[in-house]
Amino acid sequence: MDPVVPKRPCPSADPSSSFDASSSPSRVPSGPMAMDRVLEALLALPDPSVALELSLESLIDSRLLESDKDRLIEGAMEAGSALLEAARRSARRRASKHNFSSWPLASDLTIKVFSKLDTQSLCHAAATCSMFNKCATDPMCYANIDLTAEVPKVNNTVVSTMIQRAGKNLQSLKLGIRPSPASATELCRPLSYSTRNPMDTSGLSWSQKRPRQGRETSLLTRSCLLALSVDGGAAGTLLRSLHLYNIDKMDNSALCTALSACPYLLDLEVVGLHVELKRTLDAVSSNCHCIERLLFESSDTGRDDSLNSATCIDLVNGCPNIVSLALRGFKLHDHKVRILVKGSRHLKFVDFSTSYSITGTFLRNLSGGTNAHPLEVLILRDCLHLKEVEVSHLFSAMLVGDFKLLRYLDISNKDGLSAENDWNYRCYNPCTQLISLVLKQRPELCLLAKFPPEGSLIDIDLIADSEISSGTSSLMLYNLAFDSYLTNSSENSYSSDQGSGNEDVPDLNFPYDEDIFFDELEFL
Amino acid sequence: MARTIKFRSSDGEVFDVEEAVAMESQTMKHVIEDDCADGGITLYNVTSDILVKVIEYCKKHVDAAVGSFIKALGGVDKDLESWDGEFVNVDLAIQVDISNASNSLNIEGLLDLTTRVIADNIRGRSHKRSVRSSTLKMSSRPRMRNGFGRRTPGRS
Repeated sequence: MDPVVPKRPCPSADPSSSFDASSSPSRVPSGPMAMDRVLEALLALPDPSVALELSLESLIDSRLLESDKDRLIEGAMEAGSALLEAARRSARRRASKHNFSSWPLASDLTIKVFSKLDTQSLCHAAATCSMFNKCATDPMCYANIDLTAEVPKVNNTVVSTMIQRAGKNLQSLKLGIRPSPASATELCRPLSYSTRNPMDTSGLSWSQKRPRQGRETSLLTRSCLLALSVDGGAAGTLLRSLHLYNIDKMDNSALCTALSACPYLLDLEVVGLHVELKRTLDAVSSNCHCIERLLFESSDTGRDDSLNSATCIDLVNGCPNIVSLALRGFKLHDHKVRILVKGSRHLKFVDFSTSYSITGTFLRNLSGGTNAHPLEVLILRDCLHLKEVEVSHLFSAMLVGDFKLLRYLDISNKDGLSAENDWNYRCYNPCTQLISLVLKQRPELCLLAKFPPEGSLIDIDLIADSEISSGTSSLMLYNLAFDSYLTNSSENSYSSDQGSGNEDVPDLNFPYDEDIFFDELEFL
Repeated sequence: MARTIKFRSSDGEVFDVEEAVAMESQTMKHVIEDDCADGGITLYNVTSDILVKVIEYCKKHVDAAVGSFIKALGGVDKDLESWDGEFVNVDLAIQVDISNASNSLNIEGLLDLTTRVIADNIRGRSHKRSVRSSTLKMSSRPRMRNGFGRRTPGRS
C-alpha cells in the first residue's frame, strides 16, 4: 500500500474516476481524491481503536492463506506508522506556522534579544521550537560564551559546538566549574569524585583563601580548547577574553597550545588549574602580546614557586600593556615581584593575595623620579609573610607623596601582619597612627585593614562600627564607601572623625608588650 | 531656537517633537539631515500610544545628557537608571511594541533597554509562557543531552 498522499491536482474531479469505497471492499483506492475520502472516513470514526481492531480481525479471518494473514498484519502496521508520521509532520508544520505568525518580534530583533541571554538560557531557547532555534543559533548570540556552572555538565563537544556557532563573532570564552561565592560560614566539605554523574553541590561554598579540599571534577578534558586551534587557529585569533576555572584535567602543554592560538587575547583568568605558573606566564609572554589583564589563582596554595626572574623579565618585555595583574596563592619572592611591578609601565591593579614568601620589600622606592607610579589598587590580603615594618614604610612613603594615584589598599590579614624578625610573631594592630595620618592626608583612599582581635585564631569578617570599644578588641576597620563620586564632603568628615578617634586608641588597646611594636610608632 | 518636527502615528495622531529629541532616533536623524522632514513624518508602523512612550524616553534622555557631566566622567547616572527601570515596568506586550518601534526607528539606548528586559523575561524559563495576547506555546525540555536540547515539535 502506498502510504504517502501525493500532491493533488486541481480539485475539479473527473466523476468517471470517482471510486465508491463501499461497493468493492477489496479494491485498492486509486487517485488522490479517493484516498482523501478513505482517510476522511477513517478519521471520522468515533471510536477508532475498537472499530479498527474488529475490522482488522474480520479481514484476517476472511483470508484463508497464512501468508495472506501475515501480509495483512504487516500492512496494517506500516499503514499505522505511516499515518502517525504524517500526522506528526503536519503538527510540526502547523506549529511552526503558528509560531512564526504569533511571535511578535521580527527575527533580527529576536536575535538581538537572544544575544543578551546567557549561554544556558540560549540553549533552552534553541530547544523550544524551530523558529527559536534558527534565531538562537545565529552567530551574533555567541559572542560571549559562558559555559561555567557550579556543577559539571558541559563536555568538550558542547564547547566546540558553541565555538563553531559563534563563527566570526567570538569574543570571550568562560569554561569550568565556578564555586558559588563564599558565604559567611565558609564550609568546605570534601566531596567524592565523580566523573560521570554531576552531583548536587548546592549549599557547598568554599573560601578562595583556603586550598580546596575536594571539588567536583569537570567533565572537560585537556582537549577542551582544541576548537580554538583548528582551522589554523581561526577561532583563537578572535578571542579576546578567556576564563578557565577548575578544569582538573587541563595540563601545561594543553593550556600553552591554547594560548599560542590566541595572539590577541586581552584578558586571561586561570583559576584552580593544575598548571605551573612559570610555564603559563612564559606562554603568555611569547604569544599574547596585547594582554592587559592577568589573573592566576593557584590550585594548591603556596606550593607553586616556579616563578623565576627570567619569566618576570620576559613577561614585562613581552606584554607591555599589562594593566591588571593578580597572582593569588603562589610562592612569590620580593625581587621577582619587584621586576613585575616596576617594569610594567601601565600597571594599575595589583593583587597578590594569599601569597607566600612575599614580605613587602618590593614596595620600597617604587616610584622613582618625577613620574608617579601608576598603581591605583594594591591588594595584599592574607599574605602570611607580609611584614608590618614594610607596611609602615609604605604608609610613610605615601605621606611624603609617593603612590599619588593609589586609591585602594587592602592589607587585611586573618593572621595579622608579620613582625620584623620572626614571622611567627604576629601584629594585630599595626601602624595605627600612620594609618590615621594617611587617611587624613588622603581622604579619597579606601583602606581595608581587617585584623582579628589579639590572640584569636578565628577569621572574623565582622565590620566594626566607628566607635572603638574600649575593651580588648583591637579590630579596626577603615572602610570608606568606594564610589566614583568620592569627593563627598561627608566622607571627609567621616575619615577625619576616625582619625581623631584613633589617636586615643593605641593607649587603650595595646595588648602587646612587644617592644618592637612600640618602636614602629616612632616612624613618622 | 528649537525646531519642532511633526510626527504622525499610524492611527493619525500628530505629535510635535523637538528636533534634538527626534535626533535620538538614528533613522529620523538621517531624514532630518536630508531635509526631508519639513512636511512632517508619518510612522506607519507605530501606534500613538507607543509613540508617546518613545518620545517620552527620548526627551528624558536628551534632558539628562544636557544637564549632567557625570557621563562625561565615565560614571553612571543612577537617577536615569532608575527612571529607565520604571519606564519599562509595563506590560510585556507594550514592551514588545516599544522594542519593535525602537528597532525600526533605530534608537540605540531604548533598543538596548527593551531587548534586555525581554531577555530577562526569557532567561531561566523552561515552561509555557504567553507573549502579547496570543499564546506562543513553547514546550521547552529542560532535560539536555550534551548541554543542548533536541528540537522538540511545538504543540499548537
